Amino acid sequence: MKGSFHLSNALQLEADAVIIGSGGGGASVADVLTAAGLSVIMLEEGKHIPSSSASPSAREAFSAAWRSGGLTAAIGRPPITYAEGRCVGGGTEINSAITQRTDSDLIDQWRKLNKIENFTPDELAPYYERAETAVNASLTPGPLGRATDILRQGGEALGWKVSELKRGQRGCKGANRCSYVCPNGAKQSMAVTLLPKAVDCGMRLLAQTRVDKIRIEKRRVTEVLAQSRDAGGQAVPVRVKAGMVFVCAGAIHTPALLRYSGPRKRIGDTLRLHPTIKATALFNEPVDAHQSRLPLAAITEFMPEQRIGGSIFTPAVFGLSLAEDWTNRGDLMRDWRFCGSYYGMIRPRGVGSVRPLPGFNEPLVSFKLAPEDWIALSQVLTRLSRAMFAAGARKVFPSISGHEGWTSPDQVYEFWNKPLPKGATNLMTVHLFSSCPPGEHQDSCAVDSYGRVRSVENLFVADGSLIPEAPGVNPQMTIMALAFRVAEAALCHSAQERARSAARDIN
Amino acid sequence: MQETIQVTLNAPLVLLTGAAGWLGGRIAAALTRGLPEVRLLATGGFRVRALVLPGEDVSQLREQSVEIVTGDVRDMETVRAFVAGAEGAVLIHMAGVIHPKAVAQFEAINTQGTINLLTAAQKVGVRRVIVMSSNSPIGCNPHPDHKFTEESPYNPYMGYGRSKMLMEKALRAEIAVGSPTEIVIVRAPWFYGPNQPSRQTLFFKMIKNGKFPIVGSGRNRRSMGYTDNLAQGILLAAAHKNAAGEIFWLADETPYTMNEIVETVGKVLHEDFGMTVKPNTVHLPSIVAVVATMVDVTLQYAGIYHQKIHVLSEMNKTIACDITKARKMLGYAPVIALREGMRLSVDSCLKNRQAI
Repeated sequence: MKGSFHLSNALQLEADAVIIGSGGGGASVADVLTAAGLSVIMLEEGKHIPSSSASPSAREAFSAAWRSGGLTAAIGRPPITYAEGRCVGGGTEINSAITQRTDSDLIDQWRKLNKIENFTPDELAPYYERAETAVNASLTPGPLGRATDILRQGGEALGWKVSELKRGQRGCKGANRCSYVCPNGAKQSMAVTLLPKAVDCGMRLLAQTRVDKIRIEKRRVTEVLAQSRDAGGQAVPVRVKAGMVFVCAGAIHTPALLRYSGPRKRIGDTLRLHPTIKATALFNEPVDAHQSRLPLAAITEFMPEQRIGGSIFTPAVFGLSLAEDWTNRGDLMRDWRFCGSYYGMIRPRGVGSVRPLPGFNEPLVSFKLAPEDWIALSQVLTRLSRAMFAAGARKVFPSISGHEGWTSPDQVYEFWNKPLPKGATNLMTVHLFSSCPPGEHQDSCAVDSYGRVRSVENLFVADGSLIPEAPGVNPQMTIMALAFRVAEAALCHSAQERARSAARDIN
Repeated sequence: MQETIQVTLNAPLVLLTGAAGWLGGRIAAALTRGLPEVRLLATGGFRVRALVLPGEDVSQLREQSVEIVTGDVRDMETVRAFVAGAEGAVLIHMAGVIHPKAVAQFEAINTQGTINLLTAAQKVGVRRVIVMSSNSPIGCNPHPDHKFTEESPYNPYMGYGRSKMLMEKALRAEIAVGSPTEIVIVRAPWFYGPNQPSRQTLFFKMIKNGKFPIVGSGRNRRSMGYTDNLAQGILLAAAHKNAAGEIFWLADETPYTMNEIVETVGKVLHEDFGMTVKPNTVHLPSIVAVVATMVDVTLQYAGIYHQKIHVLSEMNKTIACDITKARKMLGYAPVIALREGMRLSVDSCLKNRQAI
């Protein structure tokens, strides 16, 4: 990408603002700041992967674009595996780019709970619009394929509401490789939308540059310390001085970096995610999910608490999902063309935490499901399986190790009144948020209503960490909307105003 | 300005227990003259009959032309007299004991008393029973950012919680077997509002004197219910067709942190009533609550109930609920929040000549 460059020796840089992370949050902040004419430096830990070089091999794609080369697990019983992007464009390079807004009712609740200023659904609407325009949120043209029809047919047969999902795409060709970096550049991720725009406006983007620490002195960030690599792969220290610092490293790494750099109060104490349980459905007819678009409908009858949808499907990803229990599921690999991969996700009541571990690159992440979550997971799995049978499935295999699968619709009630087996249930998530909730309520909020870290005048959070609680929908639009809002507010409030607020914050 | 919330009860008669109590009195007022302060009005041309304990002050109820039956839910004789001829009626059961003289009273009144009422009500063909429960059967939240839903499992907090849990379980068993009398369970947490009992006035006094014990960080959350908000929820539960067989949490819009509650009351006393409020100095470590809990458990095990120790044991715990279900299904919309609710409470204390 134009504007990114390689480094040879220790670097001292200066800018009006530095943005840490290039995902939906960071790119949105960059869009606002560069438009206002600020000089901006963006630091991204991962590499830049142009769509022309996106690998069709799962192993290569994961190691290039995914943090830790694939899945990481949050400690808990059971552990919940999670995935994060680590490349230029962050999570937007590996997600399915579904563009949903958070339910207005939830936004109202969050505003009242945390006393967030100017946070009504109406006040957020323009930011959502800006996010939707940025990624061309639209219905995917053309036939969506059998994988989508299965959800629609199953949901409708049961009398449930099914909605078609808009997403950030322009000329989707149905490679069904959204989570490997789109090979056609059709997915409107940050690397093809806001980032090149910002770079054109003069932003300097340093890829493969990991921030170690934010130095804070007297309620002010003085500089950001990072490690980059030169062309030969040698480590190069980078120091950036900037008037404002935006941390957009995602719900795990933002709180970890902040805590490591000083601020701790309420930071990383309230991680939320969408616990998701998958099921594989086997049909009589070929589904050929790998040749169609990923399922672009969802059963929305039980939103925002529960949603049923479909997963990205390639033979390799499918094989990986079976690997959880290869002894019992391995046989399905032979029938992969007849299989669909679907999920049920819930808005949890449980809460997790993020703590940096000195000497390690990855922080300690734990998440504890609440009793209500187990009830909801049982419900959503039952509902998902009912929908699969209603769509003509021959067999449904819940993602529970050692489970033999269900062969008829009456069997799916196995867990309706009984919790899922804690040791054998495989839970995962690709949605992480809420680890730095915003608001004026100092007892419960890590940052103020506009993302400024308490007691620091020029340090802001602008990513999924800001979503006050689990939104029950794909978070990208909300992340971008909140990041636009943070960046605008940072420009509007004068440095003096911010210094005064920082001095007033209770330590 | 919001519109008046008009709740139409389709019944010839409304039966009300606990009518001389704190919240019960507000329900009686809502049923008769309405609560103009919160724009709540019950309509339907029904009569109201109240069950009150001997010796309770019934002058208010008389002014509201409420029929009065004197007696106790523990006594089947008076219960039968109370529900006599109540075919098609709606029964709102608010009576209960929270700070008893002895632990044994919890189950006698809260559990058995409710069963007595329901049995008698079913016999005469009462159409619907709304029963007041509490947060106590569900216990304390596992995390300060957790909120209970109607699906949260039972985890009763001591004697009171156990008695209300047994009550709820008996009611749910009736719902499960298809009781012809519809049953609705409503749960409310710590409530506040005008005409509060003197134990709540003590709470204001402690804050004024800077002596309110904040145990731990004070960041633990509490759901609270302003009495007139709860009255609205209870009437909606009585009226709404789909409420039958359901459980609802009722409270203010959001939970508050303990620090916020203490701070808000301090502000009300100072800014709205011009009192001198001493800065709060009593910060106790969490261990105090742990010790109080141990003492409370021991005492309650021995059948002794000590109010202050019991309340202290709960101080550092989060007890927060989510009212989404009531909002979505019943259209419940709490009108008053902490600051205004506390102002009205303090005002009422002063009018009732309770010194703060």
